[in-house]
Amino acid sequence: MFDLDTWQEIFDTLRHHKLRTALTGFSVAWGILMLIVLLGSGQGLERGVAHQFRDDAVNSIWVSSGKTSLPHRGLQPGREIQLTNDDYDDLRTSLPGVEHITSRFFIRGRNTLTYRGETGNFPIRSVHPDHRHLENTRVVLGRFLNAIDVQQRRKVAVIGRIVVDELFGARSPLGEPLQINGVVFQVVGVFEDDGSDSEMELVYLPISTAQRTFGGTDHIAQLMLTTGELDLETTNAMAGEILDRFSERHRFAPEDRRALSVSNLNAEFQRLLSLMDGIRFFVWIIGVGTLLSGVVGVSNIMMIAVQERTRELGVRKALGATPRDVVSLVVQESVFLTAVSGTLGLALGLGVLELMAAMPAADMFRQPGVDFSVALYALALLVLAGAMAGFFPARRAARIRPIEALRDE
Amino acid sequence: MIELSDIEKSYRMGKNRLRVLRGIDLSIQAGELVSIMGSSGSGKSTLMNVLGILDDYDSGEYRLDGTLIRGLSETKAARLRSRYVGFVFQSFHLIPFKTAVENVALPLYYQGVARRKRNRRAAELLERVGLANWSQHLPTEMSGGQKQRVAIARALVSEPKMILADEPTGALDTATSYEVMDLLAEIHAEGVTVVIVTHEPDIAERTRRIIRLQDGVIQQDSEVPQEPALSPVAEVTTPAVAADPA
Repeated sequence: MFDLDTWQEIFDTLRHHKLRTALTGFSVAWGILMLIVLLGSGQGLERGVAHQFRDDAVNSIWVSSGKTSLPHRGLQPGREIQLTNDDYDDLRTSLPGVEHITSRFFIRGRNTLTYRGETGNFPIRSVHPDHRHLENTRVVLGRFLNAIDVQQRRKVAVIGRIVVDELFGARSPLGEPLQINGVVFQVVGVFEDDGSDSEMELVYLPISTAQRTFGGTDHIAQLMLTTGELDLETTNAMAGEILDRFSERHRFAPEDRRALSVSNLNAEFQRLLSLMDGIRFFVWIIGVGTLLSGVVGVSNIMMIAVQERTRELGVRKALGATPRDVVSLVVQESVFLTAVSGTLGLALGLGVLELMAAMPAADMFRQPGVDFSVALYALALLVLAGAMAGFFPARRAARIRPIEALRDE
Repeated sequence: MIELSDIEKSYRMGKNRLRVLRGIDLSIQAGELVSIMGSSGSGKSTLMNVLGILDDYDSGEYRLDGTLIRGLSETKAARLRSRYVGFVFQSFHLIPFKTAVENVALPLYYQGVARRKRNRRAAELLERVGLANWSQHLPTEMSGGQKQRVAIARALVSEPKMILADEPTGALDTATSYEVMDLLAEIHAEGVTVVIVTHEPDIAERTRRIIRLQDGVIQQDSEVPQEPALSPVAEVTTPAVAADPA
């Protein structure tokens, strides 16, 4: 069907209806362009928002202790509540719904790191292996801490990219001895964090090693756990359960907010999810609207074009064109036009997104991009619409007897 | 070639039916040069449309070269048209954005003839109608007479058995009209059946047979007496035609 002659016919017609061709082409290209830019910006907004909330809003529950502010069972207020490894073990072994769990132990004072005469001060986090799930730590070299490190209290460290840069320079830190407050640790891994630079200044140690080496205690400062896919209600129940257990064990009033803080970030997480859904929904509504107006525009122009060509189509029929010839001429023309200008709009849209992506990331907007298959679907839809927009008026024109089309009056 | 028997055709005009053809019996042999005359409303254009398979009829029988033409699908009608009939219209109906040679080649495109072959054939025909130098021109760059000659070349390109010309000189001045008629007469001389619809007596006079239509019936069907070309008695035959009320 698509032989050279047909192409010739199509080009002829398009060339001789420049304005109409230009208008149709423009409305299709513009529709796709706007759609691509819109979808891309939507994604940029989504990623920007996700980035903004990346640290605060994970599906997790954070537990930390303070001083009691209420008297309880004959005990005076102002008593310090200290969490210990027992609390961690209790939650890990017997609290239903826990996905990943870790605790943190902080080392008092300044932490001085030394490697071959290079010295620097960096914050240290002593944690369980599961910690990486809470901070989205990405190991780029070696490994993260593991269960055996904790169990055997190994003197190993996983260090951030910035620590590597400042102490090791271009040298690979893997397996190298690193002095931390005078104690030698072996570097087993390097990590990066998409979030912020300050995260990459951290040094992670096995919590058991740090407790023994730098404190000689079983104290922990914080407990964090993730809750997986559980819904808000269930996780709230989990937070309540933690409060109940700890108030029992550490003997404080359950309603004493100062004694123990149990914050369930799932609420924020849910809010973020629904915000994302909102953005996505909004983008789709506008996108569908844009596409629809493109479709209407193309249909309109094709309808007028066919009307304008009634006589020409009549002549073609008198010269032996079958109705099928007439319909396929118009449809192929419109498919060709929408496909070419749609592709042009697509390319242009992707170009605009590239430009936007090249600009510095703003707070709520980063890495705009578009799902290429979605863009192709949109293009296909518009081409289909173009075909239909050509088909129906062309079929009507093909049904008209040539005499009616050719009548001079 | 053409056999019409008791052809009737009416158009619906609101609640009324307008009977345009009321029983036409007509037979045209292959190789004739015929004109159909009649005032407007006589049904001559309708008859021409029926003959050209451009329009259907209500009752009767139309055989074209032995084939019964009746209630054909558009596709079938298009096939028969492209095989049997070449059209020439009053207002030429050339496709404005195609050059002369492209216009002439178009019927062959719909017959599936290869590009090279149909362009060669179209060029031949343009030469035949004396427009060899105009093949790359657009219709808008041509005079009426030239356009009509392109249209005639286009009608001939598919080697039809019959040329149907609807007021072919209606938009032309007298001198050009006669040129066009001479061309049609030449074509006829080569054995093609030519049917011309006209309301101009001097045009009809240049054919061999005149069929007069009035109110949808054939009122008169007469031979035009042919005189030897050089005979000075030529004028004698004219009164027979001039007596016509048209």
